[in-house]
Amino acid sequence: MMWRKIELKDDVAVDNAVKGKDTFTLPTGHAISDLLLTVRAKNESDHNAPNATEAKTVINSVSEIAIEAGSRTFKKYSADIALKWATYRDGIEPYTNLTQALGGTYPSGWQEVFIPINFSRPIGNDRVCALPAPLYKDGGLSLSLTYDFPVDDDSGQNAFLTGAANHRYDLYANILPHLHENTLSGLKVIEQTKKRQYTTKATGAEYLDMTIDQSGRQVMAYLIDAYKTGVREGALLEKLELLIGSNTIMENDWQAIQWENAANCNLEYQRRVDMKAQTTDDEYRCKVPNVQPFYQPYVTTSEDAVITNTGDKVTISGQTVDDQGMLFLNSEVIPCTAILDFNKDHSLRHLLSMAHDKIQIKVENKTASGTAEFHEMILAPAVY
Amino acid sequence: MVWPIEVIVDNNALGSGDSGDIDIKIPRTRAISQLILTIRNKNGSTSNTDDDGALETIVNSISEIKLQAGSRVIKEYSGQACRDWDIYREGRNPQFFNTQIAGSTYPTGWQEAVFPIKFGRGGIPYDEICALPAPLFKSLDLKIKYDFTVDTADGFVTGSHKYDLVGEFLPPRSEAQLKNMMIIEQRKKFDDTSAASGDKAYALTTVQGGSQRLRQVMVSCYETGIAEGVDITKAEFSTDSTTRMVNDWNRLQWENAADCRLKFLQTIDSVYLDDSSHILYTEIPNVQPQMVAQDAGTEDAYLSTAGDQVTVAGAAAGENVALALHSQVIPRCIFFDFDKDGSMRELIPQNLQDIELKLTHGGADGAIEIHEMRVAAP
Repeated sequence: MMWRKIELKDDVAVDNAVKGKDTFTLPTGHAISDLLLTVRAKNESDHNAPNATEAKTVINSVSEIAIEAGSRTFKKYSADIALKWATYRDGIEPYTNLTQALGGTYPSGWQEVFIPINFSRPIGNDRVCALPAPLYKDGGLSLSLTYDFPVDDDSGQNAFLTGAANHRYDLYANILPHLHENTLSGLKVIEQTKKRQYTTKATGAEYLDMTIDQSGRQVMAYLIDAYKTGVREGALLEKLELLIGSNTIMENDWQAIQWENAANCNLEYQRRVDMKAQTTDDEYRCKVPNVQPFYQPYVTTSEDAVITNTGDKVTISGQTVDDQGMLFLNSEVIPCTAILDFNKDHSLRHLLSMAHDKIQIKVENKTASGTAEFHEMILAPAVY
Repeated sequence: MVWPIEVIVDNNALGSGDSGDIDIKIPRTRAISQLILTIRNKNGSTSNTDDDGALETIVNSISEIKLQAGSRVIKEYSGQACRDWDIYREGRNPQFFNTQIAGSTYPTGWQEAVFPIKFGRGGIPYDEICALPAPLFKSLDLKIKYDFTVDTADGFVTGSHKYDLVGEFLPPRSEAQLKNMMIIEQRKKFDDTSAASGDKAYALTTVQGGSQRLRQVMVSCYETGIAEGVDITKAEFSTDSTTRMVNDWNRLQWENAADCRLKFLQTIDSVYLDDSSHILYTEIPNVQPQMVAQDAGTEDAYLSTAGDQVTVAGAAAGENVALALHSQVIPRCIFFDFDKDGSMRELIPQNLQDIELKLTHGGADGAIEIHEMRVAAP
C-alpha cells in the first residue's frame, strides 16, 4: 500500500486575464495529506520594481486560497498567510522567486511562489491527520483561488503582464494509500481559516472573540499577523493575552512570542529578491518589519550602494537607474507573525478545547492603522 | 549504556600516490551507527583556483567511497553523492572548509571535507533498529578511490592528503539482537547523460523473493552554467507499471527542501581571482551568492550568475574575495522519499515485477546519476 504523489494541474493558465476566482473539483478517491500549489506570473516588459510603494508580488496577488466541501471550509487564507503557517511548520520559508527583472522566457522575469497546503503534521506519512476526501465526494470538494495580478501600471513597468497566459499555476497532491471508510471517518482534519481582521489603534486594549464550538473541535494554534509599512515588530500590537472566560491562559509581549516561535521552529528566515533600481535611492517595501538586509551588487555601478532601513522599508542608495543586485532579507523572527501554539510536540495531547462560553484574545495596541489578521488552526473530526 | 565514539584512523595519508585507492579494515567487534570520514589536502603553493573550469576540490577528488562485507556492497557512492544524501538527511551541508588560498601550515590553505557514512535513520538518534551489525560479517572494508590534481595554482601539493575515520558504535549486543538489525544500503544505480528532449525510463532494482525494501531514490543532474530543472524537467516513479509519484524537477526540490527543513550554505573562505572577470563553477545550479572583499582592490567587485557559474568582475588578478553561496534547494538533486517519518512502514518492496523511474530530459549534456537507498536484513 503506497503513498502517491499525483499531478492535478500542471502549468495551467488562470481563467481570467487579470482578476477573478478559479474553482475546480479535487479528486475524492483517496485521503489527501498535502496539496502543493505553485503560482507564477510574468513581469512586465521593462521590469516589476515599484519604488516607495507596495511591492507587486505574486504572493500579494493571491488573496484567497479556499478548500471547501458544501458548507464545510477546511482552508481559507491568503497566499501570504499560507506561507506564514508553512514557515512556522518547517522553520524555513517555502520557495519564492520575487524577481524584479523584465519578463522573458520562463523562468527569466517570472515571479513564482510555492505554497504547501498541509493537512498533515510535520512528522511525515501522517496517518492521523489528513483530509478524508472520499467522505466529501457528494459535497463537491473543491479548491478555489482568488487572484488579482496588478497589470498595466506605470507604462509597462512595476507590475505583471496582462493576459491569463502570463498568470499560471500547478497543483500536485500527496495522497494516502486506500483506507477503509471506518478509517477515513477516524481521520482528523487540520482546518486553517481566517477568523477576523482588525485595524490597530494608537493605544488601549481590546478583547477579540475567537471561535467557540461544541462539536469536539480543538484549537491547535492561533496565528496573528500585523503589518503596517515602515513599522517595526511589536510596535502595532505590543502584547497578546489569551483568555477563556475571564481566566488568562497565556500572555506575553509580541516580540517575546515571536522569539519563542523562532526557537520552536528552529527558524532560519532569509528571503532573497533580484532587484532592479528605479532611482538612485530605491525603496523596497519588503514586508519584513525587523529586516536585516544585505545587498549584493550585480553590476559595476552598484558596488558603492549603501543600505538603510526603516521598519520594512529598505532603501538602496548610491546606485544608478536600472542597476541590478540581490537583496538578502534576513529576519530573526517570522515577519509580522505571532503564533500561540498548543501543539509544539505534534502529539495533539495539549490542544485547546473550543467548548467554552468565550475564548478571547486581548490585544494591547501601540500604533494606529496597522492591519491585523487573526487566524485559527483547528483540529476537527472528519465529520461533525 | 554510552554509545562509544572512537577514532579508527587519525590523520593518515590515503596512500603513497596522489591518486589511487585505499582499503581500510573496519572493526567488527560491535554494531556501527555511523562512520565519519574526514579528508583534507593542502592547496598548491600559489592557490587552488580555476577560472572558467571545474574546481579541484576535496569533494570532487573522491570518486568512490565503498563499504563492502565480502561480496556484499553496503555503501557505494562518490564523495559528492555521499554528501548529497546527508544534506537531505540532516537539512544542512556537511562540513566543508573550502578555500583557494596558497597552502601553508594546517589549516591555512588546506581544504577539508566530511563524508558521513550513516547506518541509522535521520531524526532518530541512537537508532537501534537500523545499524550495521558488523560482528555478523567475516570482513568489512571501506574502500576509497581518490584522484587529487597536483598543481601549484590549480590543484594540491603532492603527497599532502590526509584522512581521519571515526566510528560511533552501539553498546555490545547479542547475536540475536544483531540479526534483527536492518541495514540501510546506498548504491549508485545509473550514470547517464541527458538528451535535448524526450522521456527515458530507468529500471530500478528488483529482487524477486527478497525482503529488501526501497527507502529513497536520489537523482542528481549537473551541467555547468545550467540552472535547476533544465536538463531534467520532470520525474515519475512507478511500480508494476502504475505511476505512484510524479512531479516537476523544481517542485520536487522545493518539497524536498521543506521536508528536510533545508538550511543550505556553502562558504568559500577565500576565492583566489586569477582574472579580472573570474568565473567560478560552484556546482550549485541556482546559486544565490554574497561576496565580501578581502583585498583593497576588491571592494568594488561585483557578481553575476549563470546557472552555477558566478562571475566576479571588477577586481584584479591575484586578489581575493570570500563568498557565501546560498541555495533554496539541495543543489543538483531530487529525492523520492518513501519513509518521511522514519517508521519504515511505507517502504517499497523490491520483489515487484518492475520498479521504474522515468525522467523527462530537457537539455543535452547534463551528467545524471540515479542512486537507491534500501533497507535490507543482515
